[in-house]
Order: sequence, then C-alpha cells, then structure tokens
Amino acid sequence: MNLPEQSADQNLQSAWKELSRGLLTGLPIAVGYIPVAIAFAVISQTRGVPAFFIILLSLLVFAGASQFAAVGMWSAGSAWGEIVLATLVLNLRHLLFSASLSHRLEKNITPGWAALLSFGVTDETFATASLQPEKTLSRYYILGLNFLAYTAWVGGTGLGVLLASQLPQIVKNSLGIALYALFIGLLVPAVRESRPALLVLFMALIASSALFWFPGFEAVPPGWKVIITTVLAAGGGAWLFQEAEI
Amino acid sequence: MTNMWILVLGMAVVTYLPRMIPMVGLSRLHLPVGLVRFLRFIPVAALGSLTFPSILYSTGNVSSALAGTLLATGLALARFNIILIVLGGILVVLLWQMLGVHVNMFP
Repeated sequence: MNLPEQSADQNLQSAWKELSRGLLTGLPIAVGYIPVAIAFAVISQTRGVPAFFIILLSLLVFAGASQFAAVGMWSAGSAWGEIVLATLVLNLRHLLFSASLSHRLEKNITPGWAALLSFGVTDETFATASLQPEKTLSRYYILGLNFLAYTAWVGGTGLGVLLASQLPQIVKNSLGIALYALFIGLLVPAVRESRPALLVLFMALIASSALFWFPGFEAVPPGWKVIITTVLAAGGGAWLFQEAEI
Repeated sequence: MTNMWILVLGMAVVTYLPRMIPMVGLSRLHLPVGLVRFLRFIPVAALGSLTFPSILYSTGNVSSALAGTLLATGLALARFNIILIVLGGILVVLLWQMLGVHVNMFP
C-alpha cells in the first residue's frame, strides 16, 4: 500500500474506504449482539450483579460466553479465582483465532496496532473477518468491524440494564438463536465454493457432536471442546488437502 | 465490592492475553506453508464446532431451535443477506414459541 507514487491523500481515502467496509460487514454482528447483550444484562441483574459491574464486564472483557459463565458461577457462589480460571479456559480458543487472523493481516503492521486490533477478536468478528474473500485484511477494515461489534455489545448491555426484566421470556428465548443464525450465514457461503472447506466443516460437526453426546466427555469444559474440535478438523484438513488452493 | 473488582479485572486480563499474544507475536513472522494451511481451515472448523450442537439448546426448547436452524440454513443457501438470516432466525423462533404457548393454553 505504501507505494511511493501514492499520495497521502489516496492513503487516507483507502483507509476510510476500508473503515466503512468494516463497519458495514460489522452490521450483522451488531444485530446479533444487541439482543444477546440485553439478555446478558437482564440475567445478570436478576442474579444480583450491580449495574456498574455488569457494564464494566462488557467494557473490559468483551466476551459473551465468558460473561454469561462468570455471572452463573458468581451467583452459584464460586470464588473469583475459579471464575477467572474458567474464563481463561473458555478463551484459550482465541489463541487459535488470533494466530489465524494474524496471518491475514497486512504485513507491515506495528505491534501497537496488532495489540489494539486483538482486543476486538471474538468468535463473530473473527469469523466475519477471516471469511472475507480478500487474502490480506487492512487494519482499518478490522478496526471498523471490531468497533461496531464492541459498540453494539456495550450499548446493548447498557440498554439491557435500563430495560431490566420488562422483556417477556419468549422474546428472550428467541434472541438466543441470533448469534447462531449469524454463524450459519457466514458458514454456508464459505463452504459453498470449496470442497476442502466443506469437508473440514463436516469433520468439525462430527467431532463436536461426539464430544457433546458421547458419554465420558461431560467433564470437558465447553471452551476445550471447541479447541479440540477445531484442532482436529483444521489439522485433518491441512493433512488431507496438502495440494489444495484455499 | 473489592472482590468484584478483582474478578472483573482478572477476567479482563485472561481474556485479553490469548487474543493479543498471537496477533502481536505472529503477524510479522513468515510461517511454514503447512501451518498456514492449518490456520486457514480454523475459521470453518471453529464455527462448525461453536454452532453445532449448541444451537439446538439456544432457545429453551429444541423444536423451536430446530425451526430456527432450518430456516437460517435455507435462507443462507438461497443467498439471502446475512442480516435477514439473523432476523429471520429470531422471528421464526418467536413465532414458533408463540404458537407453542397458544397450543399449551388450549390443550
């Protein structure tokens, strides 16, 4: 991008273009996040977490599954050390996501930028960014995407604190499917054009179902199930499709 | 209250570090091609694992979740916009549950 003939003006223009493209592809994530964040705030309030800490959790942690798990454990009387350890296990999958995404980032990125962008890595922003057709992702694209997702998550949490328990249960239930519908909307186009990707998906579905339904795996925390399944399926894909252009 | 602060800050640290370390550490390295292929397959593998079977238990009852899953998949296969896929999934679960409530009210 830093070709000598390119003026600073053109660089700024392409930064804006990438930023707005990030905001635009972040929109479906925002649609998915707001209801889930509202549900998080409502559930946390019914469990007795003070409003200030509910919002602080969304501001500083920005990881839905961990936040739900933490509130559940907290109201069940778990010590803070246990909750922090569970959070770590649940979030180790982000090691894989960040490693995968780091490879797609533009090459001349500074450590400061990488540290900033990494704060916004979630299941959903990772999935959206990494399934873009472009081989190289601009830092401004990721920034726009993460910013909108973060704003929706924190804003939805605030909204949920205000709405409190006014939402009827069936509305809360139906919001539960939002993020999964987003995942389906991302997966289908990704596997439609690529047979190797489709096979990796099938391997992941089989491994994940086995860990979920076969007896003996009840004690494996959900975060580890995702890690094990991902390593097996992606590793199987890398081994099977050594010649594949992906 | 002090414990609540320690909890939230502790969670913030253990959430940020796994996100940050590979992104800062790997983004300037040149990785071997086998590892790159592995990293390329991670999105599809992870998304599949995150979605299924958890999606079946995301709405409080399996039948409404299944209806939402099938509709979302159908809309995705028909190349609908992803926002419509999300909204369609929410809507069909809501309708399904309203219908269920209605049936339960008049057995």
